[in-house]
Amino acid sequence: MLLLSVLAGGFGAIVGIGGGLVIVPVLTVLVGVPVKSAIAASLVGVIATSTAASARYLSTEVADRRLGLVLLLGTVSGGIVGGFVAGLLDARTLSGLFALMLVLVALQMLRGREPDAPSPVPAADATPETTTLDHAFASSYREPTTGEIVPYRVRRVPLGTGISLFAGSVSGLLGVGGGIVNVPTMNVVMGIPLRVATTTSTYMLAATAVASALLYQARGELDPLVAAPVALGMFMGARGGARLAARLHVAWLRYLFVGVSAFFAWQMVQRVLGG
Amino acid sequence: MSATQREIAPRASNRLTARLLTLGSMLSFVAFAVAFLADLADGAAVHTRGALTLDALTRMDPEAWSLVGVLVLFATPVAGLLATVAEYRSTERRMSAVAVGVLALLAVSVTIALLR
Repeated sequence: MLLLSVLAGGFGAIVGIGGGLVIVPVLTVLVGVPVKSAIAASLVGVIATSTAASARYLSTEVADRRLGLVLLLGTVSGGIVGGFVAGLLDARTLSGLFALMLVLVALQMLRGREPDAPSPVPAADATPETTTLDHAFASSYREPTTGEIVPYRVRRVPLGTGISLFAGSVSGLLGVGGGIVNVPTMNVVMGIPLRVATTTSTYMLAATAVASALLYQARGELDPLVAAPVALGMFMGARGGARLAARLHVAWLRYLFVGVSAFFAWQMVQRVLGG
Repeated sequence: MSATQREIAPRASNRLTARLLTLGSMLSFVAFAVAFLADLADGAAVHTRGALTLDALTRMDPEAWSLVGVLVLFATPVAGLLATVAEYRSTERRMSAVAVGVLALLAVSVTIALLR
């Protein structure tokens, strides 16, 4: 299980979708772990990787903690809802929902769309659509590759918080990090630079996952003997994967992810149909 | 001072939060590593579920140590948020209040969990 978690964490980090999306079907289909225990273990893995990464991002002041705190109001609420609803659904329904999400993410990868990185809005160019609330989150970050200080403005904070509620629900329900919703929301909807969006999303993942993991633990669905190697493995894999990503042809790996997703989605659908 | 510099809100120090997150991660990984090594040493021994006791920890029960790691991981983001409240208290009280709001939501989750 440790080795599989390292591979899942690494693969998820390389293709940019996080380890949760990979580890849940791996545990369910290959190891035979009940799907709810797999989801709970994945949430623990998300907490482990994001906690460690957040410490680094906060130290380098790339993550926007102020904005992250506000969006956490949405994601943590969603995490509670998702974790609660997961307790009401049976394993077959959860497997079906996870298979659907695998298909949607795979299709998104096939389309090859990356979230756009919009130009930071100069503070002097106030547009009618920016509100007082948006101005309150104007900030800057130091681009690590150039050392340049890049200012940016944030748009549509209430809408972003609302979408974060959905992201948290997905995270709590299916054991994924929520970054697959958070990052495009922050980058495309709210106009935040991609680097800030990914690091801020990482900052948010831990507290979001805690909110739902507690509910799985209370229901007795969190098996520590599964969660421990998953957390350790996903952390190790994510660190290694991030380093490897710069050296690999990510495009080919994304096609591999599409193939792997199709396999696991089919396996999970068979469980739904077979009972 | 440019309009950009005037507009950007003053930053509270991240240091305490970052250090707590790092410490929590490290402690949980140590617990997981102990659990992993204990499990390797124990082979196929059967473990009873759920008991987190001092006796279980001193016996190097893998499940007990795994549970310690999980609980430390749960507590770490909470500790980080508490540090955030403290760090923002003097510079931005509104952000401090938002962090308290997030902690309140986590308390709701704990309450729901305890009521089960």
